Amino acid sequence: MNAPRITLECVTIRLGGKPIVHGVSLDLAGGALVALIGPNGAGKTTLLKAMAGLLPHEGRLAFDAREAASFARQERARLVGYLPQGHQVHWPLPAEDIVALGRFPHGVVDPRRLSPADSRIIREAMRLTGTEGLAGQAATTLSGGERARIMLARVLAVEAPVLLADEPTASLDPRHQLVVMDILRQQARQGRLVIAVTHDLTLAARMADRIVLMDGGAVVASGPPDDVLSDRQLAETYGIRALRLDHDGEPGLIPWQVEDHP
Amino acid sequence: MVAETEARSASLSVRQHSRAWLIPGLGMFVAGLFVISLGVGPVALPPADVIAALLGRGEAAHRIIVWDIRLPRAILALAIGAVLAMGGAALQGLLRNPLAAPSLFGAPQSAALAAVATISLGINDTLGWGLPVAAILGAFASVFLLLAIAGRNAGLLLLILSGLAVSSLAGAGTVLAMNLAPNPFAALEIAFWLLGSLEDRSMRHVTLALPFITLALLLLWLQRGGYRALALGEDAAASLGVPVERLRLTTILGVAMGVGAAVAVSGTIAFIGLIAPHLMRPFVRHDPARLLVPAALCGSALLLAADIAVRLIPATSDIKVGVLTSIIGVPFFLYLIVRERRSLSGGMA
Repeated sequence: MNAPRITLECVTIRLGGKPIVHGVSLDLAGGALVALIGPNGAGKTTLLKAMAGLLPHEGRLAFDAREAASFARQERARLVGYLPQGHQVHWPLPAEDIVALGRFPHGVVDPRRLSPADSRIIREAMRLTGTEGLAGQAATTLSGGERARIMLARVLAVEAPVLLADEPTASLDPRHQLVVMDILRQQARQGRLVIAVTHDLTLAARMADRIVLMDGGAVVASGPPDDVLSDRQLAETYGIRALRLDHDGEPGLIPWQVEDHP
Repeated sequence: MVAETEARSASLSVRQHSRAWLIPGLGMFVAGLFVISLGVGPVALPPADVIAALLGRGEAAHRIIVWDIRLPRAILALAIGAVLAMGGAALQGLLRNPLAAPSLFGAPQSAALAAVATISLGINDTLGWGLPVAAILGAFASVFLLLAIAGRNAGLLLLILSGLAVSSLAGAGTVLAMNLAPNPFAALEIAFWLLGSLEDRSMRHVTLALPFITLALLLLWLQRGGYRALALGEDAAASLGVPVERLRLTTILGVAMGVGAAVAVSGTIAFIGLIAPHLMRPFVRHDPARLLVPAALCGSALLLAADIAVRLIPATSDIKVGVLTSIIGVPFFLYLIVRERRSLSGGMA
């Protein structure tokens, strides 16, 4: 896989005429797990949706130096996998049929008629997420953690070079938070560009290769976790102070107390 | 690992096998009801005589009864049942909601209003092409209006309330036309649109409705992949390459075309679009895409059966088939409301 690249130049996104995201410029390359963080209302989800092609934007958005607008619908669906927050399913479809929807951009309309290649990809996605045992279960009867992993398997089955995940670890227990982030990091190691919106600064600091910090609709910092998650930055954007740990040379960070920047 | 994979694919094929009978089985059932429908009436004909008459053999009187009197009626029951049911299944797929149905959204009522209004104003006669076109436009306007009012991620309550408003308005308009009718015969003719019926239809009616119904069935069936992807919500579906806005418009168009054409020749027949998809859903593992064809066949079977029943129920006057489907449909609708109570009261389903 060629390492994909997303380029944003002066991207502004309006919802109902109001600019939610303004003047964002970023250049993100494949092979990295990028955590997109920021306080509530910072515009993280809006930016992610625009990158997924779900919201119109002003400014330049390009994949591998090719304008996003020039991609056909299906082509873009194969390039960018998008995992929305909430993991909603409206029908009690069997879990394996949900995962099979990941092959939709590749022309798979009927999950009962899969080519050997497609079913291998679906099985592999379910193996990676540890959901093989759930194949026949109705998606609406799964627990939160199971459903989150099925949805992750669904987006992995797209095999898109760019993977956008909106709060993939929200409402998961600690083990599944780590499992999901670990899967995302493995995907990045294989050359994909993985961008995950998260509120979990501890996980972001521990797992991400790069952090993009947003506040008030703009990107205020972007770089390696140590640089972005400085005491000053945390106080300015979140109004908190963090406890810092060192575990065998690996730095850790725990949001500790409210502290407004003077 | 290999053994595990083999076991898995074996279990998959067993499951596929157990579902493989569904469409052929339903097809046989519908064919059986079709033949029975041709045999039931004042002159009862056994299936052997019906088939002989269909093949152009047997008594001349039987041939006339089967070909000219009962065949149009049976064809219309088959086609209208199918399109109402597939329309319901498609709308439910689009809105991700088992309570969505054209009749709850005022589509048949609006189609009837458009038909009645154009007849009262002298624009259309009851056997012209203008009639199904007017009915289709009426149905389209109502569904479009409803989805515009209710918005993109409309909840159940909002849809049903708006549907109630639209169907009440259309119903009031039709009754007004009846009220203003110049003579009792004209009023009686308008009453026809309120009481759906398949009696005394000719091949002319079949010619008027069938092209639109066929087109509607095809149009909706082609959207099936989109309905399945929408199970994940609109954003996820759009990210998978589903043109959500186009899907919405195509579905409204397909439903309107089917319902409008049906209403133009049979009046309003309600609840088939609610009952048939619901009955078939467990057999297709709740897949909104694979639901479409079984739901259509089930709708055909339901309407054929209802139309046979109205001919067999002993009554001094003919019971209209639309009345029968409503009498069965409303309690069924109440049952569905009880089942969906949680999501109706605003909680998460």
